[in-house]
Amino acid sequence: MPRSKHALLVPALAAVLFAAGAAVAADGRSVYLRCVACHGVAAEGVASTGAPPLAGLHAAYLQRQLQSFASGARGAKPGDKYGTSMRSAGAPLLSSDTERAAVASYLSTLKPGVQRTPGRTTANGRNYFNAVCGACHGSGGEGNPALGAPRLAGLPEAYLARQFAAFQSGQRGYQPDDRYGIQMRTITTMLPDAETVRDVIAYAASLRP
Amino acid sequence: MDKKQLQRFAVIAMVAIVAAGASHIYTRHTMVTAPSAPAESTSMALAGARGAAGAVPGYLVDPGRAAGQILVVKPEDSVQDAVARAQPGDTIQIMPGVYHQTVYIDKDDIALVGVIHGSDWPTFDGEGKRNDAVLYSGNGVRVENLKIVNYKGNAIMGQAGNNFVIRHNRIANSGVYGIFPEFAQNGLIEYNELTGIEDAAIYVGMCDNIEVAHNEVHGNVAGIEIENSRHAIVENNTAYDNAGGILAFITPGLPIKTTFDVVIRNNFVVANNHKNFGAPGSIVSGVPSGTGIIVMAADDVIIENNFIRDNKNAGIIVADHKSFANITPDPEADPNPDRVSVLWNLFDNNGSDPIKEVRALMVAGLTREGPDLVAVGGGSGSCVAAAGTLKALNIGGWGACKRTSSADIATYLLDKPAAPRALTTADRGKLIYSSVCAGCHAYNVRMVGPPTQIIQALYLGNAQGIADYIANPVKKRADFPPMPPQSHLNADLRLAVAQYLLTVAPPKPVPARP
Ligand code: HEC
Repeated sequence: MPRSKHALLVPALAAVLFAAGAAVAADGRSVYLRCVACHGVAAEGVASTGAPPLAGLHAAYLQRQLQSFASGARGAKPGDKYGTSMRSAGAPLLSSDTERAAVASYLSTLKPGVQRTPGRTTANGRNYFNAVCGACHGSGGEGNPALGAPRLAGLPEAYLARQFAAFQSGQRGYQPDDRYGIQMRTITTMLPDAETVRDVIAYAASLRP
Repeated sequence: MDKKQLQRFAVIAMVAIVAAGASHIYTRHTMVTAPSAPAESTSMALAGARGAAGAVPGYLVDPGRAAGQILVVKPEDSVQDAVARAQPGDTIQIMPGVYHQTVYIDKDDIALVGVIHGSDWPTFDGEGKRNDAVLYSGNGVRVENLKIVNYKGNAIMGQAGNNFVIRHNRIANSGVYGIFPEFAQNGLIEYNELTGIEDAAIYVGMCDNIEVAHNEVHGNVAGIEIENSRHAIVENNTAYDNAGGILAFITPGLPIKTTFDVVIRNNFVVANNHKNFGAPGSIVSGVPSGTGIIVMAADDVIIENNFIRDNKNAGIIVADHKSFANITPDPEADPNPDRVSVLWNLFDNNGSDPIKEVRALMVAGLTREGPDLVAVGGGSGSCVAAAGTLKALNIGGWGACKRTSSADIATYLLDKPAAPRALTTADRGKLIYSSVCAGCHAYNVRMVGPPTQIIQALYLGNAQGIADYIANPVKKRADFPPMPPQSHLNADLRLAVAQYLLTVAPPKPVPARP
């Protein structure tokens, strides 16, 4: 009977699909094992190595950053200590676009962790975050793949501050074809002073993923 | 009399006063109208107009203008086709029924007048997918007797159209702004009812010489907002159940930097305790729910003879830019509200549940009573009449008012129609930026859309990219409303405005004081 045939077919199909999905995920996960020494087993980031949390960042963003480290569009400027170590020690652990894609897609499925020492909220930080950053990173810092803007919520304050400074000084976003990096460099000029930068970073770090 | 009786008496007295004010205003309009009184409105339309003057006052339409034709439109017809056929001076009469349309009026002196048969209105229904119901850029445009529901952008938006009349429309759940004249001079907004608007129901943006009267606004984030506008009277309106009732603001980052000479009088401002449902992070989302009237950075505002009751945060807040959420400073705009006059008003039961910033002021002022009037931040020269009759907080620097009433200010409308804005090809882009884009995009703060400086950074000199996007916008941000397509502008104009947008300079920093 057609009905019983279907009844058999559906679980069988599901099993095949599930296995396929699991294979991709497992692949990403096993690739990620090469990164845990610095980024942590749950990709929660490790303060002592300076390696940021990666769990729950958008796949496209992660993949773009991995490619940038590999090509030298990120981490190749003198004086960029953490960038240099990611570029020289981290990036070579991944040998191909396929591996980069697999690990990025695996990491994007992990739940972002909550920072144990979240930043503080000030009116100044909130106002400038909403006026400047929120337009692309979202009012909750959730990020926006359509704009290439990564999630900020859940990232440590120290990491956010370092990246902001890198965009400001030109240690990030220095290649002419790095469109998003160049956008971000322009945008760093929109916070009026160092105190506001600190307030905004602290506010971003206070947002819960 | 016991307290209850006293209150009742006060209410009756207030109603009488408001009614008296209303009839006074009425007479004034009718008198001004009488000599010209063009007979364009049909009697059916008139009957629907709740006894409004009905005709168009001479200061809004040149009385010497020849009476035009009447073009009748039925639901199966396209209103846009009628606009295409119309000549200046014509009236487009819209018969009852449902219209799934957007109309753009780029001609002068066109009246779009609905015909109301009993309870049958002409209804524009955007079905949750169209952006705007009526857009106009012509001068002397009148929009009257329409029901407008379920649009995503604006119900009625004016783009640099002077001498407008927007009267007796009923607008519900229609996007970010309900009635929104931008960058215009000399206009009347009266007898409209608006509800369910995500930003300001009646939003007067960068205008001069405006009258907002006899409207009913409820269930919106902001009821009536006078923003970066000069010479405006807001009178005889009823604002209830909004998050904020009536606002007079300077918003930073817009081409016009001031708001002054605003009279807010004879309004009912009642129980504006609606949850603020503005987009998170936007300026309007910073309006504290429960506030009757807010003056932010505006100067020379007179607040008189309003009935301000049951607003649980505060009756009136007078604030500077620093004290307001989601505002960043504009070095070219004065952040302080100066010379605000709170004359005699009737207050009752405001401030029963104030926000924490107001509570902090209560603690500092050693009072447990929430305020009828509270001042936060800077500002000078403000005054209050009969200070003993209201619960005021933090108005130490305020004096007693010398002015006793605003009766000397009968109207800010002009004696005769304002001239159209001069337009050379070179500044078309600039005019469109001011009259269209700046309604939602401020330079450095988040109004409705992303700030202009962010758009500049995202497009990095790519004007064509902007022109293409605005012709057919795609949704990019989950926590922003959609950007309405600007396909009513032709390709040249879209490119002109995009090019201009890329050149808008940051407000000039004020040199640091030594
Ligand atoms: C009724 C409000 C409104 C008006 C008027 C308006 N915009 Fe927008 N605009 C928005 C909103 C909201 C967005 C964000 C849309 C999104 O991200 O999904 C936006 C987005 C944009 C973007 C896209 C930025 C990006 O991330 O790619 C551009 C460019 C833009 N607007 C230009 C303009 C121009 C030019 C005008 C005037 C002709 C204009 N807008 C008028 C509300 C408006």
